[in-house]
Amino acid sequence: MKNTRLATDTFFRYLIRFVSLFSVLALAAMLLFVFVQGAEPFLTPTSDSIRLVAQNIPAITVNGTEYVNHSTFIPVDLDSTELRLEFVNRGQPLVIPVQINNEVEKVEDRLSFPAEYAGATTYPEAYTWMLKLPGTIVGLEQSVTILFPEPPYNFFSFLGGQAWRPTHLKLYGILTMIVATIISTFGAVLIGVPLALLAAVLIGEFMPRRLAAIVRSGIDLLAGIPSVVYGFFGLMIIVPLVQRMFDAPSGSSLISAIFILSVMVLPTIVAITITSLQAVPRSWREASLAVGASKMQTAWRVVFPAARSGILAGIILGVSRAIGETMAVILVAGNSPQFPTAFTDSVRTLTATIALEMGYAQGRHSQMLFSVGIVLFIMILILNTIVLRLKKHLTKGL
Amino acid sequence: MSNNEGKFTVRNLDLYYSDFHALKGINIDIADKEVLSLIGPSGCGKSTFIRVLNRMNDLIEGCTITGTVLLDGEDIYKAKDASELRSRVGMVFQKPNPFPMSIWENIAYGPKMAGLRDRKKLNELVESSLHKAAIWDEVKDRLKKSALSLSGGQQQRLCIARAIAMEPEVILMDEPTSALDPIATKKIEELVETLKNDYSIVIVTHSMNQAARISDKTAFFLLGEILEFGPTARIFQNPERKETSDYITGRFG
Repeated sequence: MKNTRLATDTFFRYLIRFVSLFSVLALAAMLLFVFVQGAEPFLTPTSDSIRLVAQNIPAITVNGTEYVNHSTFIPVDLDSTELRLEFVNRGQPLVIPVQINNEVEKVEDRLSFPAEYAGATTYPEAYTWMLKLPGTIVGLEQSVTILFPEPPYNFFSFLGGQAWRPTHLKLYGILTMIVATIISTFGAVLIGVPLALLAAVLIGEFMPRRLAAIVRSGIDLLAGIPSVVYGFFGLMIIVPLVQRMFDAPSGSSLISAIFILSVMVLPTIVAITITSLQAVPRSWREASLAVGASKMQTAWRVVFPAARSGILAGIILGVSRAIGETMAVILVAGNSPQFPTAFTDSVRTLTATIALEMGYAQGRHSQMLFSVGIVLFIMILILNTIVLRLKKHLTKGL
Repeated sequence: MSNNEGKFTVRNLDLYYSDFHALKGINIDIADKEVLSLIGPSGCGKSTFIRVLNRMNDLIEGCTITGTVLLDGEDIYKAKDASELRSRVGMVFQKPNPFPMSIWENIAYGPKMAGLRDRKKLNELVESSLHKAAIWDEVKDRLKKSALSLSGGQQQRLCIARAIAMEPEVILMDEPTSALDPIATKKIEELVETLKNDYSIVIVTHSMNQAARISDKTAFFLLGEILEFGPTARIFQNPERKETSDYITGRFG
């Protein structure tokens, strides 16, 4: 008897240690991965060689090396002074010598093409040149893309940059998205929190107990609805409504995002607030009523302040949901990375950017999305620290 | 029918918690400026009865009351709102229950809720209430501190001060010393002695000694009925009913 208990106790002791160690390590590994990915664009260039991509060219010879049916990057040494491209175009063998002047300071001026191809360059400011030649069939044109390694990205042009043009211009400025995220979250809190608190006091303090239980289970249900469903509701109801109300060209806008987010934070805040209101000792209510205060006064002056720590926890959860909400916002916000000048402007949040672009992003673009994730992470961290401080300050008297 | 100096006149009071008949045919007169103690075994209805007097039972779902309860000749169950009644009939509870606010806020709470906004008057009221509750000297330097930092006995006197701040006519005390140590208990008892000059006091107690020491009249409750009611000295020295004497001498309860 005693030995079996010893054995089970030992088993669970080791199980707990193993599981907790495993979860801590898994979490640390995840964070490490995200941070390494997210930090890389600011520390290293995109590659250590010039890279070429040949499209619709079965066989190409670059500086004497032949690549046949080569489907990935063709690396060329950084020190090279010439790119000698040889391939067959419309049955004619073609030789294009491209000069590389490494002494030139500005990267966009380093390549010089032969005179007949001079107009073929595109996006030199993004370290990309594209040489296009007509093919035998329209739509099957041949092209050679030359990619210079991009230097480490300036962290401040990332945080403070206003243009997010990842594919062609290689511009990764997220200020517009930070602004959109802050405004939409703040707006949702401004509308959602007072509504949630009023609803919670009504349900927790004034409804007959049985009705309150029914409403409460409804709210718990709302808290569990997948966000894409909220987004769908927003897309079908709120977006057309906003378009008609403000006479805007499109209802997909900042204000729609604020509306849908303020609806979405309600259930969490209401449920947690009710729970913390109910945890306030009955004796305080009785004491308040016994000195002649009304039920309303008791609810707002005694019960509500006594529950403030729990209520604040609910608000934190609500705000975190609003910041982190992705799916519903993508459906209603319009997703243009621009500064909103009006509430009816289309905006894009940080989370929306990650979700929309991760599917096709490559290289630095993909790493930049990790950086966006880190920014989001730090924003939530700052917010929670502020609220925790506030909580400490508020609950000093308790 | 009722005696003219009576504060409370209770006639044929019956109270039900849903199906449970908690108070049966209660008739009692509570005189002005007097201490009435209610004694009896647990569950006999003492607390329920004093909660009738300031309508605290209104909060309990399924509680129904029949009969009449008159305060200065007026039926207290007539008004829809119990606030006015409760400001005239204060209450002190079994467990000290100061609000989680400062000492000053605790005392000023009731008058503020009743609409008193004048800071100067509030300050005076706080000071006089704390004086009357014999706790002023202990807290005068820390009125802004949390009331929860006080000791149990101090908290209970603070609660009494809170009730006094409403300038009530009657103070109901539901076993006010059951959670306190003997020294704190003694202080509260002395306080009751002085308070009875200004207020009627109804006190529920489980301590025979306390009832004998501080009350002018005593009512003995058993199973929802008042078995015996009279001057404290007579009840304790010469009880009419055998149950009363058994309870007082500690043979049951």
